[in-house]
Amino acid sequence: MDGNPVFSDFSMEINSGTKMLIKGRSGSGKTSLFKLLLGFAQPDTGNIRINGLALDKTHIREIRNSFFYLSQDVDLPHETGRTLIARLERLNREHPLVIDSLGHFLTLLDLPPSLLEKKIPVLSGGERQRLGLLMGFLLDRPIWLLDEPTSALDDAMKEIVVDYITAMDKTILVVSHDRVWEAHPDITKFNWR
Amino acid sequence: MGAQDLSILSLLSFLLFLVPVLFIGRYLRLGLNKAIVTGATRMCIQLGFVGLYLEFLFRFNSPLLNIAYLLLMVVIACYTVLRSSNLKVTTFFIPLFLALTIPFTLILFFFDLVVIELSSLFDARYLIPIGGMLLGNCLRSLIIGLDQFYSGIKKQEKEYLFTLALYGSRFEALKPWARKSIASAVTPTIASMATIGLVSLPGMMTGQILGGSLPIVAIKYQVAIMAAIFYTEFFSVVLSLAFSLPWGFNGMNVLHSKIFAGK
Repeated sequence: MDGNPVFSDFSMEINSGTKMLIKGRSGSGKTSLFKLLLGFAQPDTGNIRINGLALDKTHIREIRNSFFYLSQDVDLPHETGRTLIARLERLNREHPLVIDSLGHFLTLLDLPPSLLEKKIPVLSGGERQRLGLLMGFLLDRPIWLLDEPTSALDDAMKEIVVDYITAMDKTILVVSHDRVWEAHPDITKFNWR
Repeated sequence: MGAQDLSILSLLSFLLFLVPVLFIGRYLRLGLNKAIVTGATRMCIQLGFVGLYLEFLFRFNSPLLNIAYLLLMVVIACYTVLRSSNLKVTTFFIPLFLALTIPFTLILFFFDLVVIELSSLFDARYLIPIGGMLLGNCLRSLIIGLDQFYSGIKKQEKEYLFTLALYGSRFEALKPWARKSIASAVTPTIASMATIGLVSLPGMMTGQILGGSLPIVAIKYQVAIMAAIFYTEFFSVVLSLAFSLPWGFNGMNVLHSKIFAGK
């Protein structure tokens, strides 16, 4: 990557179905790991394989489509949740959204359906975070990269989200400072430096 | 026909008004006097040169020479656009050159051939001034379009990358920025089409009327040139975004960090 090395001599293998909390100081490069996995940054040396596919320009589309990534700031586009869902439906014809469960997920995340009619930038941090998670549930992709996914939620909602996500049959990598992830029995902890 | 000639002395008489301008500028400490004098001097020198080589081009009226001159104008336009939009000239010159040349040539020849029905397509008297008007107007929209697109994505890179991961499609993720930059690039021309005649009499029309054309002829030309300007702007902005993508983004669809000039 550009400039100073964020990390070096790093090797890691994550098995499918793993639920892992990546722990470490702020600014220690945890988010950079996600950027590398998503192909947003390239390692100076070494390589990354996902589901046996080399992370390169030939496979990048397929690889990105196997990830659900929730960024720390939930940088959703400036439109309504409803428009976003419609767009995601159109773009994911090969792996259709689990749109039948929309009502179920809205209830789970305590989101009123009317919230989908509001422009995303006017939502509060907590609402945006839950809307982001809703997109993850609907997309139903096999690997989840979550960067501080529960930081803006209240304690009760944190418990609900963590319980639900850890019970899913998916590979989950989480960067979080929330105790609730660390305390969960199904989570493997990985100490980042 | 033709407008009455101006003597150099009568042109110079216009300098008279510069005296109070400079005086007020100095009194109010506008800090503009130097810029005003340099600007006025440059205008006179540059236009003097244009006069010389236009005389030359019109006298020879050689198709090859005219085309070479237009190509030179396109090259200078591309260079100016990239310099002004803070993008690296070496990186983007080729895609921008194609993005400008294709619609420019097409619209210019269509204008000459189909609209004015010129018998000689490469007649300098039409080709050069109309080509110049098209290019001059494209310059501004290309600068706005490219600058808004690339600096917009740079500024909101996190949003771009997040939607790229969400959609899995570069085309879809880039849409909001492409939409915004195309709109900003062509809006001034749409606005001037909407107000033309109400707020201002356009330069080309004024020139033709002074040159002795009937107002109705001048108006027809004005409508045609406005349409030509709008189409050339629109297509060259859209193509400049489309053609520049392989140079602006890497194979993983991430914006190259080294495409910006300076700073």
